Amino acid sequence: MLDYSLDVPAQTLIPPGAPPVRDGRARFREIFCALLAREPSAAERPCDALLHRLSDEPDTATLARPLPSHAPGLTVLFVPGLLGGCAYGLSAPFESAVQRLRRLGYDAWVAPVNASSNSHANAERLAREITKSRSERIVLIGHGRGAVDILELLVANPAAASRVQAVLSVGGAINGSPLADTPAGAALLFSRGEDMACSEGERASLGDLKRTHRLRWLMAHPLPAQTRYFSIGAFAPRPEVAPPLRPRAAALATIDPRNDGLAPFFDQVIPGAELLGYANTDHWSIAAHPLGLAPAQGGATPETSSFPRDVLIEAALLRVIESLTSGGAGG
Amino acid sequence: MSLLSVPVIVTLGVLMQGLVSCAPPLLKYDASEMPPLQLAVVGQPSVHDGRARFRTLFCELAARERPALDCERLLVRLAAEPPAAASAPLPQHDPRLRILLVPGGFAECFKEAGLFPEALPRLQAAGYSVSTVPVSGRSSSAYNAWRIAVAVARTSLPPDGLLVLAGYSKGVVDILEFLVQYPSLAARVHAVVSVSGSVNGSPIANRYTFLFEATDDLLLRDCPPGDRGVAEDLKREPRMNWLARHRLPGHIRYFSIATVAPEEEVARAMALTDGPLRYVDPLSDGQLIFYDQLLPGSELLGYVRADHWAVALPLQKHWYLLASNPAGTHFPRGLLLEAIMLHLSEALRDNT
Repeated sequence: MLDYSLDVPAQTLIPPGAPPVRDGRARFREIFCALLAREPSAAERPCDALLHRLSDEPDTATLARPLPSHAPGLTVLFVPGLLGGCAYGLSAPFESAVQRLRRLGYDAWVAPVNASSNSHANAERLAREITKSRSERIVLIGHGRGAVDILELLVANPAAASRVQAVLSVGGAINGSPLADTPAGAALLFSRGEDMACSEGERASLGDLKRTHRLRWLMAHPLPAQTRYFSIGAFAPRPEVAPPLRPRAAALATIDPRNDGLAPFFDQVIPGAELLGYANTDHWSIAAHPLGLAPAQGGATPETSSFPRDVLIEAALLRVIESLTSGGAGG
Repeated sequence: MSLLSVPVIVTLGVLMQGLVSCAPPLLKYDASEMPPLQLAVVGQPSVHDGRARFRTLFCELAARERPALDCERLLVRLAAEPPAAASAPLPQHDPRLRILLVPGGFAECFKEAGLFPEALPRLQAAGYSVSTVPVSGRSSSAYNAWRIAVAVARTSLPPDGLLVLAGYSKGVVDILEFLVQYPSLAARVHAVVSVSGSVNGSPIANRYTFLFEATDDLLLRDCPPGDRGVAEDLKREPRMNWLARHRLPGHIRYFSIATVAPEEEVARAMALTDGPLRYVDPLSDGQLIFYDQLLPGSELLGYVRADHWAVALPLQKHWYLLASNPAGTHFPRGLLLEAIMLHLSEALRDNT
């Protein structure tokens, strides 16, 4: 019933007592656009076409501020979601972002979480990964269900959580996904032929992504206050969504057309987080690049394949570092 | 959204059923599985949970007056409702409360649709001063804000009086508009109560306002047109943009009562708008989704098991066939409003 329109403010679906989300979109846009301008591919798509500008986004500062400095040595641990095992025709999530961050001096890697395990088991895996970090300063970046695994870790393992300075969700399934609620939705998530790599285990782990489960969990588990939270959401017009995700996006449009093929835009923000922005791309393309398949074979559209996901991650990390070093000022 | 004329509802419903009924809804859950939710704009304060105390008040009042009522059933228990505290005596009514009721959209167009008619005498008998603000049924909230301002300005308030604005459906939106448009008069207000408030608007209005606006002069020709802005103010996007642009006055206490009803307990006429809403979310009252009904920063009192009309309007009495529901349920409106005012009496006790 709702139209796809950007004339809406940023929104979050929250339970009672949830801490308010802070608006960091203006500063993040500034950082992202400045970084993007340095890229050889900068002319392909204007920066403003890559980050949605919703009706309530504050103006960026009149005088451009300098880019924050990187923090070499910082541990950046990426946590993939179901995409880790359930997508066909895509690179491993965050593969190229890890390479980019390593070149910049970060200690970055992708955590070996298991898409067919529940979030509790993945939280234990993450705790083991954290013990491998040489740095006491750790940033966790989660995509889709990976963001949920991170939140489970923070609540279940205070010792590991105490080393986590910041969490960034990227297209995070924070409130779960409406697709996980019914067999009809699950059939869209694991449709035959497109996700052949996906096993019954992944289907079983969908319980963690049920909206009722996630929202009850969020209400019952306040997140540790010593960690800073940041969120980047994603949504795209349906013709620009990767073809395998379009039936999911169409089904989700009965709830809200501003979705990324996994969740509406208002389900993707961590309570109390700084909202960095909404990427104009779908749930897959924000984290992984296509492996050269044509759209008809399940590959990406021109818009999503060219999405500068690594620049997005670098820009978000810069904002995280700026916030951690300045005590949170920005915006 | 409180009261669309039956022909409009039937027309819209048939159209909408045809548009969305080809696939099953994505979300399917029981009310007891889902915690209360609020669709909030960035920076908006979340609601705080007052369900446990309100349930105690409502149920003790019900037990005293109508022991046969199944109170547990009348207040829907969503997930994570805190346990009730040890039973405390009912508070005293506070006659300092001066209550202005603000009806919803189209109320002016249907004389049989008086707001809480059963509640008025019982509140007056309890010592409250109560009156209804004559808002325009077909007008925008900006238009009605002025009428509320006039009513507030004319309300005599003793030095220790506590002015309460209680809105139903779009009446809540009218109140919010008043609060930001007339800050000097808003300073007189101590509390705002939302009953099934269309705080965030409704997807139903979003899609079909154009159809309503094309036919309303014909269907509502005996009703003053005002500025004809009623439907526009019930759309989701304008409402969310309004909430993002305005902060509500901080000196006022806000309270929210929402409504949800199972499909079989929704008025027959409204089932046709209820169906499409249940594709968005199963917790609907026939015109609004549960997460669109809460005032930012308010105390959530509870979820009433009633459709969007039955919670506040005596329509089952006048339009039996269309306003009654297949399950044959009724809702004790007078009891609800009295329980709300008892809760306010307690919550505002220390206000001066």
